[in-house]
Amino acid sequence: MVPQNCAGRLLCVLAAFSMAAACLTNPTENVQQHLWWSGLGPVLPHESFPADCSLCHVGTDWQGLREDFEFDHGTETGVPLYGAHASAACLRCHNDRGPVAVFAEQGCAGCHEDLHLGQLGTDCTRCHQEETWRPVGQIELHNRTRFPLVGVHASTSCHRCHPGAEVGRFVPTDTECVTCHQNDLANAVNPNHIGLGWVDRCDRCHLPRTWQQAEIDN
Amino acid sequence: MRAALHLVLLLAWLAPALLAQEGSVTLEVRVTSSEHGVAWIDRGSADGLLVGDVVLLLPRAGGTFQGTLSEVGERSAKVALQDPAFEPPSGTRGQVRVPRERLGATPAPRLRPTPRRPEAESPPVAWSRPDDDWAPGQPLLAKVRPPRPEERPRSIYGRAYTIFDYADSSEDERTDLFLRAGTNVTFENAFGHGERVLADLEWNVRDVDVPDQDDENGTELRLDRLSYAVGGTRYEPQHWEFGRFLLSGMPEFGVVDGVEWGVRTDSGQRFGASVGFMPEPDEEFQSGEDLQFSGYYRWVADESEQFALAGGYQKTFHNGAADRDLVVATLQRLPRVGWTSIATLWLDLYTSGDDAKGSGIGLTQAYLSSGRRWESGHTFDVVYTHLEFPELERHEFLPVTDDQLADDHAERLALSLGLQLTDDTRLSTGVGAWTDEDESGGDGELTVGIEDFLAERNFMDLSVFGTRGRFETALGARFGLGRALEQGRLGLYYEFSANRLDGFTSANDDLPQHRLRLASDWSGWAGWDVSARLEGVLYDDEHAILVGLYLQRSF
Repeated sequence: MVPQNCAGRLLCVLAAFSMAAACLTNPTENVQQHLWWSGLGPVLPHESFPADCSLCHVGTDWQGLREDFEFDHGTETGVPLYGAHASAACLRCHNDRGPVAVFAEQGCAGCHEDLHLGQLGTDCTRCHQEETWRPVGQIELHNRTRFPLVGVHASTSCHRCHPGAEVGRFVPTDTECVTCHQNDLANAVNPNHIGLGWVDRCDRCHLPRTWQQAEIDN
Repeated sequence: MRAALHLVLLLAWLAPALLAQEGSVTLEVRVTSSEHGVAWIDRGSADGLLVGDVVLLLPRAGGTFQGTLSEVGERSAKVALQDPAFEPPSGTRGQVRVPRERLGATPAPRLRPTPRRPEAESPPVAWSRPDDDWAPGQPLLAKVRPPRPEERPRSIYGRAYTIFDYADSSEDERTDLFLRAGTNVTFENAFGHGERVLADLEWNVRDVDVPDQDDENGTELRLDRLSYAVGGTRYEPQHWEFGRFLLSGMPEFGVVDGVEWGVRTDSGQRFGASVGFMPEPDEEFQSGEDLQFSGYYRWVADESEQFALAGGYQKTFHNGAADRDLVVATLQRLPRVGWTSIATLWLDLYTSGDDAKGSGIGLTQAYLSSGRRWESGHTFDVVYTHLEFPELERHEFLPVTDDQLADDHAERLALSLGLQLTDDTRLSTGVGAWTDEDESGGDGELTVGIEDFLAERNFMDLSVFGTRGRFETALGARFGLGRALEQGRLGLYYEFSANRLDGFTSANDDLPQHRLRLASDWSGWAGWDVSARLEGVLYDDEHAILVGLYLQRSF
């Protein structure tokens, strides 16, 4: 159940130690919670708002907002909103499904679906940006894995190696060449790789520059 | 001596003003409307205002404007503005200084005379009428009944997007085109029961030409989500969801075509169960082969949910035959201040029928992280991951051999430290170490980022990095220079890496690589979000050009 090699055990122990230290060193807190679950008041606390409701609301049920309604989230609450969050409707985050402070502490996954199923952690901003959510910097991030993207791999679609990329699944992925290059191996007949037993360690003769050329040290 | 005299005179001049400050309070006001040199504010005589009081208005756009109260009602007042051309927008903040004694002069509420106790006294009656839903922490006055989800107006929000990616490589005219168009829509209170209907649809066109027989051409229309969800709110603690959706109670179990039920108790504990088919996690997302049943329980220490433990079990069947027994355990320690910790373990329960793994408990995956954010901007994170292939009948990844199922694993420990050196300068470092069934390696990166570099709104990043991967060792540097625009940013990035292919048996094992990228993002530009990039990669005597465009419209 635990990693079997020495280095793996060492990494595991270091990680467990760090987590235990983090859990034990937190100061005691007494943070005021918005009383969301008690069925009190609107989903947004209004205590600090002006007394004149018509400054923001129109209509008789107080559900509609004036066309010229503006709210500087950073100035008013100390939590500035960036990118798409700045133009999102208030009820997207402040709603009846949970207190926003609890959601916010859980990071992006507090409000957004984690379609990576928790496998890639909680820091979405390593890959995504708040403006368009389009992932950026994958080549740079790959430099910090077992498989830096070099040569033709740096211009190859993600899904060629990660068949679940379009639905957010990236792990587990094997780093052996033949896992992705099975068809290339089957089609390599000059010389006949399979016949010669050359079925693994493609990197001995091939560079990730072009599959068509190989170099053998004579 | 002369300086001391100046100081005394200054203090003498300031003293009356300071004493006046001591005897007054600042009253915050808001403009409710305005026209032609006149504004109305939301405070009046009940707040101690009198005709002639000076009002300072502080519009959000900047500046300070003065006015004088010309009429005062009980709860509102009229302000004659000094600058008749200034029309403050509704909501503009303002301040009025009011002498403290004026506040104290407001009449005290008249007290009713205490009734005299009758001669023949009956025992005191205890107050038995409950306060109407009042609880500590609630304002005593002006109880507001919030609208229920089913009382809110129907609303639709979501986005539509298209993504275009194209790569052209010099290797025998290798090209890779990928076009995506999609939309995701949420319909709140669609049928008047406070429900949510979610739809997420994507159309893919792929055209890949590679210099072998592995070309790929095709079009797919994929339904990522289509579900009907009701409940799960503070008024209805039970949550039901039907259709194709990501399980909300334990998202680690994935997307299902089925139904989920969950409950949240008053103390914040959650539990639930689900049944449904699991779409295969690839670009087709086909369903019907894998049936799952799952349940979970999430314990929280208190209502703030800063400490939570959860466990879930998922049983799957592939084409009717028993397949996977998966247990997921999670820990979340998320204090408002201090160290945060998150841990997730994926445990597979194998039986004697699992030939490659053998019977027993297998740790298939682990994700542990701890970190802290300081007010100064410094950050520290440590992340540990463990990964193995689970033994499955279901198609979840590219095929691997029994030996790989039995032996392959990867562990990685990564530390990241960010130091906010000045308001504009940030130093980021990251080091990592990994080990798998065959080899070990690691990586390191040091980045200096400077905002307002040379000119306001410019930014610059400079990084050096080194990595030891499974097949290569690389050293390199990266440089980025850009400018923040009114609604986006524009940047030019260059990276050089010197790669040495470790397993290559020939002496020609060096592969220098240059990458140059021009990228720009605009957010909210005429209602659109746009991201565009143009990238060139030069490696040895080969090269590739990559073009990417992303268009999104939110609604």
